[in-house]
Amino acid sequence: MDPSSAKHANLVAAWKHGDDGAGAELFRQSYAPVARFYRSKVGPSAPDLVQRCFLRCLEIRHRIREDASFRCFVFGVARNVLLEHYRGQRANARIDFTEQTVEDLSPTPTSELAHDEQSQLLLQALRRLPVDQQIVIELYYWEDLNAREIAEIYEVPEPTVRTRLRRAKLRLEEELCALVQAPQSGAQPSIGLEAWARRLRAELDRSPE
Amino acid sequence: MSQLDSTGDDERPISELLLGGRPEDDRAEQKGAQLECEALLAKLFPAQVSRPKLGRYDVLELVGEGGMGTVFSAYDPRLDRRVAVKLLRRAAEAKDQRHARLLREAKALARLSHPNIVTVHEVWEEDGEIYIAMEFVQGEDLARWQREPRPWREVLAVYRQAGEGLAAVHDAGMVYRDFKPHNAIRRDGDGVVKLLDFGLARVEIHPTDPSPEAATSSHPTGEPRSPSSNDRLTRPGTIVGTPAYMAPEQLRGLSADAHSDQFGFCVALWEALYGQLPFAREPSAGSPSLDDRERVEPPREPGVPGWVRRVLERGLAREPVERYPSMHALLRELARDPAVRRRRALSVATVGLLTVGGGLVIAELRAEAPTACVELRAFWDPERREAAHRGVLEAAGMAAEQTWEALSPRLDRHADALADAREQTCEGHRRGLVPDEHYALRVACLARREAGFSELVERLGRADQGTVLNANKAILSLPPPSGCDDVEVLLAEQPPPDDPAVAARVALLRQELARVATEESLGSFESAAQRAATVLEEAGALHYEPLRAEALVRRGSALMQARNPDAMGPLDEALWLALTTEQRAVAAEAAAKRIFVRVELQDRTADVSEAIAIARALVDRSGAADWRIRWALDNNVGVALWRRSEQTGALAAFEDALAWIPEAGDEGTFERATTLRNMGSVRFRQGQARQAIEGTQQAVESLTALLGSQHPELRDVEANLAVMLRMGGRYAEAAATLTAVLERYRPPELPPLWMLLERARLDLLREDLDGALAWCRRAAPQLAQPGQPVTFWDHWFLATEASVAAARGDATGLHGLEVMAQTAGPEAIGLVLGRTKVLLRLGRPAEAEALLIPLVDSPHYGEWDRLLLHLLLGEALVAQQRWSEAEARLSPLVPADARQSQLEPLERAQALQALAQAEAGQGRAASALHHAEQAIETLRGFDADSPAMRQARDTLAQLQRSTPAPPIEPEPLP
Repeated sequence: MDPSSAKHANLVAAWKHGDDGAGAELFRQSYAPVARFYRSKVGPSAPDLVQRCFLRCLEIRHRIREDASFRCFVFGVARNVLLEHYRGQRANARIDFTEQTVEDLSPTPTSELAHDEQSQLLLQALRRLPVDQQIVIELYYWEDLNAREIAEIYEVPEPTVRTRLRRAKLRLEEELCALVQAPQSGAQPSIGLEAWARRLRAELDRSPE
Repeated sequence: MSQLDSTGDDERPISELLLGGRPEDDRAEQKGAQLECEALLAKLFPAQVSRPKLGRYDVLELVGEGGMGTVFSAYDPRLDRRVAVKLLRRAAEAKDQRHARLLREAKALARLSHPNIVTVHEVWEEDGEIYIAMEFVQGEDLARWQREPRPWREVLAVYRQAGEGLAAVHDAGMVYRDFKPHNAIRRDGDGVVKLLDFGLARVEIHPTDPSPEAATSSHPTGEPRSPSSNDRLTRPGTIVGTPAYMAPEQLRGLSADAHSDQFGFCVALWEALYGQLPFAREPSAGSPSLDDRERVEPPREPGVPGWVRRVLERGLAREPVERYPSMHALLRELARDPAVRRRRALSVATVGLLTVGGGLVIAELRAEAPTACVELRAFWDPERREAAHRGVLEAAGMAAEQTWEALSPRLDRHADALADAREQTCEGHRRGLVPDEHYALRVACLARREAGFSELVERLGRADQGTVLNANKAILSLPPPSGCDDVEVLLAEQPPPDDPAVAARVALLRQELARVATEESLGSFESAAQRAATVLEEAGALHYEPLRAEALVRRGSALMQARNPDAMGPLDEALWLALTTEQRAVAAEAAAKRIFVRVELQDRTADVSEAIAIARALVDRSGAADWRIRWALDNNVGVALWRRSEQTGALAAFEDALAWIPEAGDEGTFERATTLRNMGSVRFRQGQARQAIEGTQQAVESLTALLGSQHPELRDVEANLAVMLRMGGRYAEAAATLTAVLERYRPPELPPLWMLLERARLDLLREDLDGALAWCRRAAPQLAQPGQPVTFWDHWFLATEASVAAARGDATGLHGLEVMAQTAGPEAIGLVLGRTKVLLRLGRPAEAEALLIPLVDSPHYGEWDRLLLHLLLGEALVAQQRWSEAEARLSPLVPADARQSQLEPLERAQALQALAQAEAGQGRAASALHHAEQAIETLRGFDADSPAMRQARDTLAQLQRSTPAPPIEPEPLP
């Protein structure tokens, strides 16, 4: 278990007793994982979603159980906010469509496109997973959450999470192979998935630990 | 939303997240994330967490991040304003060298002050990081802005601003390197476009020799050259930019210069105009054929003129030397409508001849930017509205209220549209969106529109009945203010002369012509023709040919409306003149109207083909925005063909004419009614009575909506409908319709004689003799008094009265007709027809024959009258049982194909019945029965109880009785 959990529990207790400084500290510590969580999924909307996520946490802080992991609570909220975001995008299909078109038309700067193609491949593969599989993988590899903690976020039994995790890994490897075999890329995944995923996390991560 | 993003990419791909992973960048990255976090916490916990500081600025929130840095919105407490602060993200270069360069360039950029570049307030270094504070711009970037389709002129105006920004960058000796729609922001509110500084990290100082030759001459084949040490100094280690907008030389890894920016600018503008990139596929970095993209044809549909495309194509040339020498040169080309050039060429010919100055200067033509845009609507203030209302009420009697009810909302709407157009044009100009030369043209155009409107309002204030009755038609005929948006058309059709004094005079004369057009549509044709002649004279004195062409077409049009065959002269001259001045719409209008004059006024139907061909070619080429010209052409062609008895062609032309009329709104009501009426007449002649009547009924409906049911014009149309109904044998409907029309005439106004007599005729046809006499009595007061000239209608009145008497076996009416014939001459058709019919009714066919024989082939009569006389002669012969002579007269009248027959159904049925009797008399029973049945068939659609139908059935029954075998089934009747 994460050694910070005990510290979190104290902060949660203080916050619920009216110490907003404790709340700020909790958010400060959760900021990097939450930002990472959104950055890998929604790109430029990430700052907005980070804010929405924290705002939601603030609103429902009375529901935080002192005996439960604050990180699990935050990720649960983060996931809900993300799904709302996706639903909102779908509801407005026209905007969704045009954004797609614009992305096609205005590709990103090619600056250093060739830089670490392998990490890029992994990210691409991740984005091809269904959202929940992507989340499971990231929580497991990047946030070092174990199956029990993930089960807490999803509010499902632990064995279900293990099954999901297995499926997600299989699917990720399939996607990776498909990407590698695609004619536009010559790169081969040369290291194991786990090591790779961890390295990717390091690259995504922009905040001090 | 505020948008200030360091790359402007609103869809930042995940791959980019990896790019900052270099160790030397971590600090800036971490600093950014920390600021982001603290700014958010300060918002969520304002009491516990204070806003993070960047320099002297309080960070508010993150507004964007990208490859080149992170941008925060911040507050400057010292100057009490919002700013944007960018934390530069560094790329792969040796840190010290790059650091110094970045700082130097940022400071160079800070010195750059231009309305189309975001202003840099401050550049500073803190903890080894570089920060830039700049103007905070609330707006949307062009990528977002151009997702919605925009008119090409608006796109051009917006991009020209961005282009000015680029030109300023170049003037300062820098290159932007990554121009794309994301990097320019259009400010909310005033629409000013500003280049974001985000080229910053990519901005580089020109090599010592910035000329294009230096950049390209060493590798003319376009082969990538391997980076030499020199190159490394001037370009970053890897390709930087956005491939879709990058110039071929950039994609080949060569150094970018001002020409590369020009290329990117043209790609973006192309995309904004045509909705797609100019090249078939976007290249991907590393592809060997990176710069070898295929040009795609832009879609034709958006209506972007060819000259714009040609300018862009040069800017998109593969070789930098083939592009424009500078952004300035490109922008100059983009600012130059060819129509402007045409105007200039034209004025060269006139400028030396000027004699008139007049000292008149119109402010509008000087294109000074107004300091404020006030609502100018003196042309429709409450006072004028009230005067117009009073004028209408006083002039128009009972139609007045209805007219005003329909008219006043139209006046209000038009006035609103004019005021809006003024304001928009003014605002647009004030904000720099409408260039000076366009502004002047638009304002002059709107002044003409206002003059046309004012003429209408003023005329209403002192209206006579005619003015009021035409007022609704006139307001709909006013050209809409929106026409003033199309600067190209304005330049082509109303080119202003260059000399300011002449231009001022010409502008006033054009306003006068707009008034003349209004007067014409109000029905004051003589006065309109006269005023047009005055303008024509002045235009001649100014030696300004375009204005002469405009005045000529107005004069010709007014004369045409007055049914004056002299209209041909000015219309011909207008046509030839407009062809030389290239005023295509003027030429097209003149050409379309010539057709009408030739056919209707000069009666030269035979040689109208050439006029039609000329008009078609001109109207097709005019690109006329005004649908009325296209409508008028097709409608007039239809009339011409109709007059030439080419019914099918006429119908097709009328269909074409209808297709030009806008579906929405009431703008085209009058034109639609006109063409529908014409179609009704043609269809009727073709025997398509039902369609003809339906079409005419539609015309009645739309005219009622336009003019109000009390409008005199409707009486005529509905009376015509009654005639059609009568010809179709729908006597009851016809009588009801016509009675309703007649009831709308209230003393002292008298219904026209012909309507009363038509009404009497309907009663006669239904054998309501009392009714017929009553209508005749109503008509009596309008007959010619002793000493007054006698008309056809006087004859027709006597004939009707005599017919009614004869139907009662009374021969007294015949005497009056004979007395009248002694003074009117033997050939007066009304009297001949009346006398013959009365004689036949009275059972005196020999006298009828004697009367007809000398007249029946007289060239004095028209085709139709001649046929009627033959029919009556045939009937007289039948009555005398001279069967073969009768048959010889009658059979040419009833060709087997009913559509070939020129007789109305009733007359045709009469001819068929008489023919059947003649055949039966000669023992040709089968043929007789056939024709008797045909008579009944001809009367299909007639009221079942009408005397005509009864008579036809009696004839058939009689023939069947006298013909024992074979028995023939009578055809069931509808």
